[in-house]
Amino acid sequence: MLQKRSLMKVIILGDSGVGKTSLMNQYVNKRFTNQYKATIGADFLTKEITVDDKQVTMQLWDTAGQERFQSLGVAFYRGADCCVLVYDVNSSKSFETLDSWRDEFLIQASPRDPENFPFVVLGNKIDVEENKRQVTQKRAMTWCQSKGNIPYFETSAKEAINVEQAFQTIAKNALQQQDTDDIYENDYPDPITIKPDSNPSYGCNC
Amino acid sequence: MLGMTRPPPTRPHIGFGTSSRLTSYSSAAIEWADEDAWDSGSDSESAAPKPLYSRKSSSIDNAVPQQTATPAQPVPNRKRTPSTSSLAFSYTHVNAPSPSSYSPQTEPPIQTSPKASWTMVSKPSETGIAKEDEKTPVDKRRVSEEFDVDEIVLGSMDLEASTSKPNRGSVERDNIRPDVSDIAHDPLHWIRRRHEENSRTRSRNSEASGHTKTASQLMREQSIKTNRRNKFVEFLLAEDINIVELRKMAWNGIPEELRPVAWQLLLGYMPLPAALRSSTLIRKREEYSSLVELSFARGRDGLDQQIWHQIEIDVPRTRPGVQLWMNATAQKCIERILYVWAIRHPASGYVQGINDLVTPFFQVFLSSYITTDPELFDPSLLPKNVLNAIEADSFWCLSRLLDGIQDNYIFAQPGIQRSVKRMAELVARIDAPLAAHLQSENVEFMQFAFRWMNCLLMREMSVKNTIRMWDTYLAEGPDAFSQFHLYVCSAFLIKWSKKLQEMDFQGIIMFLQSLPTQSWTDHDIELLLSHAFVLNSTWQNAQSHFQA
Repeated sequence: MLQKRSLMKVIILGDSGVGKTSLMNQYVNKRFTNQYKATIGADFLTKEITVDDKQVTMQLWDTAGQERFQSLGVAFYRGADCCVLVYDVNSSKSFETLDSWRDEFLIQASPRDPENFPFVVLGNKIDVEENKRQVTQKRAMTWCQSKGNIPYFETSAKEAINVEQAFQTIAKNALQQQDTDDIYENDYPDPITIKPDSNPSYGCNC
Repeated sequence: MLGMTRPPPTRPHIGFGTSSRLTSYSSAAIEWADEDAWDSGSDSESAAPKPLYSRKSSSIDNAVPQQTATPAQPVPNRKRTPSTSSLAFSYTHVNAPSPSSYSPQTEPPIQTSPKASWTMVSKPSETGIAKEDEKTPVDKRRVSEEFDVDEIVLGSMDLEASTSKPNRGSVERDNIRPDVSDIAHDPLHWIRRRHEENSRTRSRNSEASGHTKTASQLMREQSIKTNRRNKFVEFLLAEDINIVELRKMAWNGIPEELRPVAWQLLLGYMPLPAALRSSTLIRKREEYSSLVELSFARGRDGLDQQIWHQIEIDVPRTRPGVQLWMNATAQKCIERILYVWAIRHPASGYVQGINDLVTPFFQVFLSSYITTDPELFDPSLLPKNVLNAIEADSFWCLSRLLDGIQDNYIFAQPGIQRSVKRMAELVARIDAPLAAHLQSENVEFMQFAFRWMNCLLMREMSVKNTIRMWDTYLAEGPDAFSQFHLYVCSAFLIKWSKKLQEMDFQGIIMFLQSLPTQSWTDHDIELLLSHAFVLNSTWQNAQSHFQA
């Protein structure tokens, strides 16, 4: 139970059409196409990475953006080590909903220490011409600071700008989160999971 | 009886209990098919009852030309376009492992090969589509509206002579049946005519070649198929149709050219008595067009912005890479269908995945009017009244289908939650080792089966497979898309049981989101459906057993 995990679980959230699937695919497969279908439920991808000289498998859950699917969160969010919030810099609505995506995640994933759970915010589609832009960098950074200094990146999945850097930070923070979790596990060797159905705890992927 | 006409008994169970099951449908059938539930397109009951089947032939589409105007020429046989390329695009999972929302890596169908007779290029303002982002369809729709489809001359035979200006669409227009407006009016029109011609030739041939027994095995198989089709044709041409018999026949698959009619009958959209059909179709199409008018009356700003936004970004990515679905005219049809449905069903509204469900209807109904692969066809070449008919028919049939699974799409999606839970229970009973393995690997059914329910397996199979599957679903009856589908999903999962039991969490999830069904034929689908049928017969009324 206490041995080092070589897996980390990352959840990607954000409004429909902000480019979650594109970011994932740019990061994992190094390619971009605008030919994705809308994600239903969640898609799953993995990537082998090295963080601080450790070999880790990153498991990414790319979720559907439509609000109707939010009740589904429990099946995907639990046991996450990091949550990536994505918005489209050319849509202020997609930025304004970050609050509710964050809240919804904390409710459904119910991490041990919600205050310090690692989020990363990505403002995507910066390749679109400047006059289309609706959310300034300053506005985004102010929000991130107010939520406990969430790391913020401006990305373009299309042109592969900042994607690698963003995911490095995501990986680092996820790993740190696991370390803190392990400390918790020392303190409470028998974590209690309360679930109405009798399935075993999904909990962590140890 | 029918099972005997077909060499591989795709329905092994036909002997046991089937007939009683099918008879038990007859009451349901009446409920579904005969009732005049024309308000099925809405949550709310339509308050003003319209006169049933009123024949208002005077107001009938003045666009329909007189029947006599159509020359009695042989209807060309449908060209089977194998179009392997387009077929590949129609899967979401050509390359394992890639999630179902990914497009195949065998890129870019947008710069289509020159041989494809794809006419979007003839409308210059649309050429930008490929480059355009998800957000722009408004402008390109306006362009397609300006394209005056009414100008198109009917009757492909006249086309070459009448089109003075060079038009790249002319090749495609040859693929439009010469009597499209008659077909819109009477969906069995060309089938009836061809059948009459065929039976004339057949009787002549049989007189002449009574002794030429050169028939090979292949020909015999062909003739079994032909016999079956002829039987189906004769059945559909009857003045009144026995729905129980139709269900029995449709269960084993509907011949392609009969599918549009058979689906509409099975869904209860088209009335069973032949005498009522034409007037009903006219009424329903008029009704739909006034719904459209009403819904869009206040312009773009008068739309429900949230619903419209979602539809607007989803429609262009419904089936990326497939010519038909990259076409502005087709996209516009789908947008209207989805929007009208959504605002009439406020409890669910538009939910992602419903866009997938409309495509089989549109493609199948489009196929009535053309002689080529619908996926390669440019629908803007059709006369406007025909296109409107396809759109309206698709709307009503989608509505019928969604009636049976509405709680899949309302808040918290209880229908899907319930189905996935029952599927997990069922699999635990019928394949305990698999269920135990999934559990030990911490795989939750919701993680993969949610999509199976939400999109009715359309993300896991080709559209061709889906269409074959729907023949049986529609034959099963109104509950099939929720109940029978559950058994299909269970059979589908168990199909991979051995493989799955050798995989860990990661392997399982990756495998299940890019299943190797690319090469599936009707036969694979039929095996799956048969398995589902057996499961259904065994477990349907035994809930208490598998909750144990």
